[in-house]
Amino acid sequence: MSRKTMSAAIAMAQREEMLRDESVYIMGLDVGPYGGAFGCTRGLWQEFGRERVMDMPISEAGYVGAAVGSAMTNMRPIAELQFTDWITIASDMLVNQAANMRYTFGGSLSVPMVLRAPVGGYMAAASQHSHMFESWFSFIPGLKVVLPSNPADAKGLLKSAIRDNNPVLFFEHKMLYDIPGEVPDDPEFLVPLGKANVVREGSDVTIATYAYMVDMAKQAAEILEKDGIHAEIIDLRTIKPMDTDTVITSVKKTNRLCCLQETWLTCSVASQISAVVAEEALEYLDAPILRIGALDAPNPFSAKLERYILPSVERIVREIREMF
Amino acid sequence: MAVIERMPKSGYTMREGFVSKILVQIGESVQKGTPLLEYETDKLTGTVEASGAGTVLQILAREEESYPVLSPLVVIGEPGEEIPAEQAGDAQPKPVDEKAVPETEKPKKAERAFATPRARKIAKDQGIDLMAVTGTGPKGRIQAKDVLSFAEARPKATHLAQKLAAQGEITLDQMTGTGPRGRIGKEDVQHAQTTVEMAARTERLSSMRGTIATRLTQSKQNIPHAYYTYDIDMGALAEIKCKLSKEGLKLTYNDLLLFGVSRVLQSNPLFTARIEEGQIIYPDGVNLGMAVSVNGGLVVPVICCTEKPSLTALAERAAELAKQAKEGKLPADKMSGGSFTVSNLGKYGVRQFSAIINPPESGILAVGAVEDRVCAVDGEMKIKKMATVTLSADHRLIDGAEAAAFLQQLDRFCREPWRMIL
Repeated sequence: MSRKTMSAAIAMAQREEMLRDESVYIMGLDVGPYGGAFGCTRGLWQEFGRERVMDMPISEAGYVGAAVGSAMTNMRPIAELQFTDWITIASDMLVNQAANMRYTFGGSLSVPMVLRAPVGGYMAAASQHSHMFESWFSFIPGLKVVLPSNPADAKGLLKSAIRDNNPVLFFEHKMLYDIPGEVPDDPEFLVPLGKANVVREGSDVTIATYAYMVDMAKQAAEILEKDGIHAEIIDLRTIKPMDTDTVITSVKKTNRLCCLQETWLTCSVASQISAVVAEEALEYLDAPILRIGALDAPNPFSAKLERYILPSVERIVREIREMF
Repeated sequence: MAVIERMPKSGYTMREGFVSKILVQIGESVQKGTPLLEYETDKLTGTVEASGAGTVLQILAREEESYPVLSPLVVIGEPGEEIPAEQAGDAQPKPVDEKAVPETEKPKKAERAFATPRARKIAKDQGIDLMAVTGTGPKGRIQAKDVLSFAEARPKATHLAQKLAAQGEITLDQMTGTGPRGRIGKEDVQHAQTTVEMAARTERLSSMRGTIATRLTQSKQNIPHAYYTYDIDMGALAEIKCKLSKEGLKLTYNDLLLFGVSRVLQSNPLFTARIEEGQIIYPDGVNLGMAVSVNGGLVVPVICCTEKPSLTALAERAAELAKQAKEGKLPADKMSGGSFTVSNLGKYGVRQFSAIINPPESGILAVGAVEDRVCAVDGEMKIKKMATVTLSADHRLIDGAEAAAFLQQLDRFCREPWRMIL
């Protein structure tokens, strides 16, 4: 075990996988000598050289497309975007190509690529540098979507994503990059995709959440304890495919569900969880399902406004109290 | 000038009439005597007739509603005539609403309980009616804990009972169990189930039925009944009956008994008396009620002053009243004022029965069938015509010895009818 920031854990995971499998390589903006805009490839160019850690021009469609093509021909590329906001430019490569190809080619090939991208707000980075598109891409059949909430999970999930034979979108929250945590040193430490984690046990309300909201949920839970409300927190970790069974098991115990996400609620991950739980566990619900997310507005540049639009611990506490 | 036809007071105690059928339409032309509508009271059915010729201008009454006596029902006049204001003022008869509950008492309740799915499931599993549970959640929502505390407050049901109740869709909270501490058991639920299954048909309680129910319950609750049975030798009366019939005069045993009873009552005024507010009131004369079975119930027409008429006159009166009763045409004044009642089930073959006193009277004689019986006479078996009568008497007024004396006298009159002319 060592204490590492999430970005260091991500670098560690990539290094271990590149050592293990020579078809694994990295491409992205400033990933080479610079070590990545957020330090996620620090030291890797120095260790593995320019053939395996490649700097790309500012052409998301170009290099993500190259990653797709490379993955189709037996490589395992890890493409890093500098901000997830520009995944939109690469989305044709992801949605029309990578997601469809195994299906359209009758299973004769697969696209074992990972697309890593920094996501999320709370940094006053305004509407084009704060996006998080987990709801959007979870919609597409053929893509996997993963969001770690801590360094250990980041390492374990990324290694599983690299070894997975499907296109995996690995979204890393910018606010979590510098937060340290205990990370297993074991190069075979893996966290499976498609499996949620109960990070806090409780009896009164289930909070299903992921990424940066897990920390916020924990803070809210401490405050709710004083009201006698014991919250159970589930870190989904993988949005697609989602582990709804863990959520349902929890709801059967607590009888109340709060779906917490940082982003907008329309056609969202929270809506999806709500629908599934309502379908499969309606009789266990003792209150309407609560979805908490960003208000329906672009991310503001003003830090104060941003804190108003995005979920806050205070808002989470207040809205959960109203479930009782 | 428009005329308002009102609900008549066709009986001293009548307070309202139930309109059962409206026979005319607005605009219809009527004559004096044209029937306008039919109504019922607890004693009779009647018809409201047009008091003069004209056109039906307004029909203020509705079928299947009760209206107090003197309520305006139908307005008859010339077409286009104005209804005078003071009459128009009370022109909307207010139907008597038996179930009227003051607004303040009943809180507004939704058709469907506002409850969470979890609450509903718990309620269903435990056979609880959600409409009875108060919700304490946001917006008054019924939550699981509300149902659970309601269940706690209820008498417990055994697990099997709950299961049966849920299967049979029976709610447990109105049920009182017969188990220890009011516990609801399997038998209670099964009983509820059969009662639910048995109630396959419902009927409105008619006015008459309702009245009978109320009065007889009152009688049983308030009057300490004591019962005295006597076997009466009907031989002599049988002979009289036979002889008169040969001459073309048909009398029934009941006629003869009525006559006999009226004679006994004349010399036993206590049996016609009644207790009222700490006093014993003795009426003049003997008004004898006779129970008559009619469609849907029982009516007791009263033969007035039975000490006066002859036997044949009494028989005629009895027959006439019985006929009127069966046709529902008995005038109201002929249904009250009795001081003693005779009830005869002989023609149905009933050997003996005990009747319930008809308040405010103090006694009733229940007469059974006249039959040939084997009796011991001077140590030998003889066949005699006998009838068993049972006197129910109000023990506040009439003690055993007096009741016995009454019956002895009746028996003597029946055995020796010539005594009745003394």
